[in-house]
Amino acid sequence: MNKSFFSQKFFSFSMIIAMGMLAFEVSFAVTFFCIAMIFWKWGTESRSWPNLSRKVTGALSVLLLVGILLKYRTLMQQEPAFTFLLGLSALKIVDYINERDHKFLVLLGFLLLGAKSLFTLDFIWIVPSTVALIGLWSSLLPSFLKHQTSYLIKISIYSLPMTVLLFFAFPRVVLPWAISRGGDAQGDIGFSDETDPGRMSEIASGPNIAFRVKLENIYFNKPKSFYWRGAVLTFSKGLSWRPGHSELKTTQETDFSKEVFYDVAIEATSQNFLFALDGTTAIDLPENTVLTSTFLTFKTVHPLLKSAVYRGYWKNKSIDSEKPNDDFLQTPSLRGRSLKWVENIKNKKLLEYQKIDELKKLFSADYTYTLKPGSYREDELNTFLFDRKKGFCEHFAGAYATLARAIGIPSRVVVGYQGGRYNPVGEFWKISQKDAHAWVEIYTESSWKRIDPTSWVAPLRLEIGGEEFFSLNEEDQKYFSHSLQKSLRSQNSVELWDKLSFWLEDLNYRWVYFLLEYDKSSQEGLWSKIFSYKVSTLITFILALILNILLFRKFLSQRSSKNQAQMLIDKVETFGSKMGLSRAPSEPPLAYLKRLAKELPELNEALSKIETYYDHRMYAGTAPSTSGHEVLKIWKAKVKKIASKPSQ
Amino acid sequence: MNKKFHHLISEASKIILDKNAEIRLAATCLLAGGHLLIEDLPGVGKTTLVQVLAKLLGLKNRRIQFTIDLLPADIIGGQIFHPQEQKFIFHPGPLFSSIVMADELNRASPRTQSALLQAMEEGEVSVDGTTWKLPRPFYLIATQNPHKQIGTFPLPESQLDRFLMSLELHHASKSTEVTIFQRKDAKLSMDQIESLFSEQEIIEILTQVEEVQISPAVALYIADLLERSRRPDFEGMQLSTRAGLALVRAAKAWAFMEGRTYVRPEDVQEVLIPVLGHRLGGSHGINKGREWALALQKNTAVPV
Repeated sequence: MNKSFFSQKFFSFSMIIAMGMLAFEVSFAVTFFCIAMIFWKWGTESRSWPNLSRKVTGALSVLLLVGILLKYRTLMQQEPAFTFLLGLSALKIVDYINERDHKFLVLLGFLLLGAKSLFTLDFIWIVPSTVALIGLWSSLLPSFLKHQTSYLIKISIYSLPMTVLLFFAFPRVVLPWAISRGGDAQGDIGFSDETDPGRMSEIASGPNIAFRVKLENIYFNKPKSFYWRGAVLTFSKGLSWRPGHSELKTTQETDFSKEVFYDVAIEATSQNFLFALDGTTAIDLPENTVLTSTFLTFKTVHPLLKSAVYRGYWKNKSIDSEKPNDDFLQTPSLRGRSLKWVENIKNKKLLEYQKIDELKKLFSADYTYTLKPGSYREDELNTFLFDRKKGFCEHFAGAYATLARAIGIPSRVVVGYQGGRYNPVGEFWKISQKDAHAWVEIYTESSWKRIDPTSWVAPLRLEIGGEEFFSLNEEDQKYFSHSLQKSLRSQNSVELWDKLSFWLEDLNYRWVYFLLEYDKSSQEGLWSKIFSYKVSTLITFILALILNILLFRKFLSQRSSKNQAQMLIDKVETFGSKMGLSRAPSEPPLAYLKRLAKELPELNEALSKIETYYDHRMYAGTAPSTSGHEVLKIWKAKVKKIASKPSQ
Repeated sequence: MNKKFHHLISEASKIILDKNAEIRLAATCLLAGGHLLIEDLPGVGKTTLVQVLAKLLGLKNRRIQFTIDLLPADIIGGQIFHPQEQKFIFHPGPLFSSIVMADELNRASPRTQSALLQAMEEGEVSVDGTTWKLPRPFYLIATQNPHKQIGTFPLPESQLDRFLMSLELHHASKSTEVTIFQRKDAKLSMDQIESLFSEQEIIEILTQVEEVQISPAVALYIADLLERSRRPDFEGMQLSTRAGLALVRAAKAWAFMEGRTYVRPEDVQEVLIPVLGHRLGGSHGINKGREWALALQKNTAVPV
């Protein structure tokens, strides 16, 4: 029997949702191809356009596979996998004509949803996924069954204990390929420990969230004091900086339990950086070894291939007072006006604090803080400092540190994040990519002190955080950047939209946090209380497998699209043929039941019950008075009695 | 079974002995609103059956004896000039009654046979451009002599298709004949029959039969039967959708007689041979068709 795709509204809707969820993750060409294919299918079904033959679609799918393999060299990563699944689904929709296609398409739908959930933990995707999942499921249900919803609910209830069991007990394996986001080495966070001019502004243009922080007992009320160290750069190339050598050591096993701490939920970055609040003494990340550098930055041994939660221990002031060597005075050879400026300062023979004042004076002049400073090429330092005077935080930090070194003050550039947005609903801070920042640390008065040149150029940026700052239009940015009295949007009255977004963010955060928190270590903790983790894992795994098989078998038997009445007749027939009374295909079931009743009078009652049930269900189309299960029970009981009797 | 129908059959079988099944099928055919074809030798009780049924159902019946020289106007009626009124007035023929028994239909010329076509299909006749409605209900019960008798014009397939059922009345058994010979003339006892239904009731029953339900399983069974007849290895004629519809109607009527509001595959099987016999036979005759119908039933699985 031929099937049409669009006439099954819920199914086609679910399929399109499932595809749509992945469509944002692949290249536009693929998305367009899928839309075109679905549109074509619509045309063939309702406008009688010519149908693409299976040969054509088959050839297209081979082409798709070859294209993906040529482009990505693998299928084992996010984008190639998504592309392949999407393309295949679209082609299969075009092919869609019979029950077999339907099953295949449903399988593809499940794969699409699975793939999406593998790469995204976001709460928001749960809603469309659930809708699509229900749609796909319900399309598999036998059409004869009228109570599909109750059937679905039943299945959900059956599967609920298993889902819970799997969640709590299924062995957590870190699968690098499962979370890797494709060829992009930067990862989603895009953070790197080099400050090329413009690199940071590139990061800050992204809309993505970097990480979320829950402060347990640290009280900050302003994002201004929120400096998140990522990496320290010590090699100056003028305006841009590179990381120098630093020693890494593992964190000492000390008892931090009495210290103040905060929890960071970070998205997968594919990198080793851990962002730590300025003043952090140690970081604790399960399943990964954390290394501390001499600059009080933290790195993991294995890259963060999946989202994680780590805990930072914080002291109000942990002073880095190690006296720097001459490496911290390295600069490239300066030229032109910057050299002149340096010579000028040097000739004045100033004291250290005066030098610092001079630097501040220089940077307090008419500079513009912008995300789009244009690119600096040749003689970048002079162009930036004296000609264009437009830059992003890394320009100010880089230039400041280079000049400071040139006039004899040891300095380094720190990159990371600054600011964030407080969510009053969930009481956590959200640090987004817009908060990416760079600042300077100089060694003065026998300790490293933080200097943020941006604070002279655009104090508002530090005051309200990057996200809010960049949401202002450019003129407002210019206008307000020097004034701290921001009256544009009153901070007190949180608008409805803000409230809603806070609430959504909070929900999302809780969800992610819950999923992440519950990883292997807590699982182990739970099980170790009962018995050995490995043994229990094995047992659960086998148990889950068996349950799965059982459930699948049950599902399959339902899948044969037989209803209870038909299954009852099947049972009777099996029994009948054992007794030598089989049914000829042309014999109507009811007539057969009557014949059996005549031959086996002891089954008369049960048979007549089955007869009534079957008659009602199959022919009259009315609900039988006794349920199929009851009838089956009666029948089984009777048959047992006969079987236990010795045959005459 | 519905009491009233039970009564009908038992009354009828008092006069027509040993023909319970045939009486029941004939009654089913009428309840389904279909025309009936009876094929058998003369003198086996065809006319009696029709008369008894007509009487019990409370319907007027007429009989037309078909001969080779019978003209269409002889059965339909015609325009006759009235000199007093100076105009033609239509005089309805014997076709204008509820049950028309067309005796020895295959003795008539093809022209006269086809004159019945419109009447059977549409329940109306056209004379000189004017359409005249036949009474409702309108049944045509035709009898015909077995195929190979001399002087017969076999009915074309298109016309055979218009009969819902075809029946055979075999010779009565010896013991039945002994009883028949001993009792009073059937014609005398026929006068004592009281009709069980009125014309109005029959019309109501016809609509009720139409409302009998066909479940997907039964519909599938009928579709399977049709499909089977269209396979290359099947000897008989291919069954049309109209044949399938006929089967549905007859099965509904049978179920209704049983007192049910839905059809079972058993009902279909009960009416299968009379409904399909003349359709499957084609030029091979109804007898052959009945054999094929039986084979068709045996070879088609009932959907479970």
